[in-house]
Amino acid sequence: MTLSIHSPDELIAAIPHLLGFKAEESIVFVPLRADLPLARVDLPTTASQRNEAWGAIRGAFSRYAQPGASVAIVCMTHDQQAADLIGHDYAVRLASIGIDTPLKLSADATDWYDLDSGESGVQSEGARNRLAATTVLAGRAHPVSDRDALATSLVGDREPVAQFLLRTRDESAQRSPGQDEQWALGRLQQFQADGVRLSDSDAARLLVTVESIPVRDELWNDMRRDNANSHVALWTDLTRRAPDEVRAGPASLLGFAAWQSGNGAMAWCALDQVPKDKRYVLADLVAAAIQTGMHPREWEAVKAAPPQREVERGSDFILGHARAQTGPTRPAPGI
Amino acid sequence: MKFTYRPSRPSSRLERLLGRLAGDRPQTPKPRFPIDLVCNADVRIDPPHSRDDDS
Repeated sequence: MTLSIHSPDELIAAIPHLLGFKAEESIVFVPLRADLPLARVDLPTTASQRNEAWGAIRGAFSRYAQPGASVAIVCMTHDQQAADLIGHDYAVRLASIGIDTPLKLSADATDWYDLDSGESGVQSEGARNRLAATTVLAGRAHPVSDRDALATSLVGDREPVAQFLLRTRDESAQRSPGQDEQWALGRLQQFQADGVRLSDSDAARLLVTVESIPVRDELWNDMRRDNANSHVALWTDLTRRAPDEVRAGPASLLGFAAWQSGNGAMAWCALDQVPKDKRYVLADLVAAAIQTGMHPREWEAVKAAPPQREVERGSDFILGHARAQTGPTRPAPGI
Repeated sequence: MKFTYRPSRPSSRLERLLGRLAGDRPQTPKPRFPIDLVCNADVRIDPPHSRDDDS
């Protein structure tokens, strides 16, 4: 999603739409015309917390930094003194890996402040409305009130689908795997065409069917950045409705789709819905991709490559960016 | 605490693909608080007079 911003007021108004929720007591790094990720962290008020947060985001920023890369720093807090200290601290850290920070702001509930010039202004209703309209047109969901609300949005009434599971398993056992695979692909296409929520029986059947790794992979393989929003809608609904025994698959697929659509917070919340009692490989893999700030286009590059070139092409992408960097190509091991 | 991703026996082609891509990365400390990374965000700072030219 590309947003055109004309003022600090508009930049602050854009942040909830980029994150999917309203950030409070946070520091947000907004990429400005670059392939850098956007990152949000709970406001690190101690030196130790700042070091820890930097260790977690440095790799993602340095990997994709190109000459001229810049980010805006926005401290969402009522504590102006803390914002000034933290904002300038991270500006120095980013400069050390070749990233400029031409805009450093803080924002409380009503006003914004420029940490360099001291200029300030009111967060206007007009800017909020304009950015809301722009992001809705881009297919973004309206941001929820906070990060906890995002997590809560993935927990629904799971009893109706649970009542169908036993019968669905019995019926599935009488069909060939190929029949269920064909049905699942067709049901996905139907949802992509009409967007209508699945009935409880269809939801149960799809949840049981994606327990099969080959079938799940057929649906996973369908995901692209241009249809990620549709996948997010489908797997969000199924994650909300899936009982524990069938939730690992849809929650992991939601995590992947959310990451592909650029919604890292939703991806983390989805992975939190994977039951902890047994390991699910795809959930671990998506967590690794998000944790390291991997850009979705890397996945598309390797998936599109012929089998023998799959990983090499992904590496080419990384190296291509690394060669263009002005800072370190990669953080030291263990950072 | 270190972030210790292990491939954990990927069983399908796509899992192996993602595992090799995501696993071929420097390990980073797992933070004790959530860090949300969003890709695909492209924000342009444009002069105020260009507002009407937005597409």
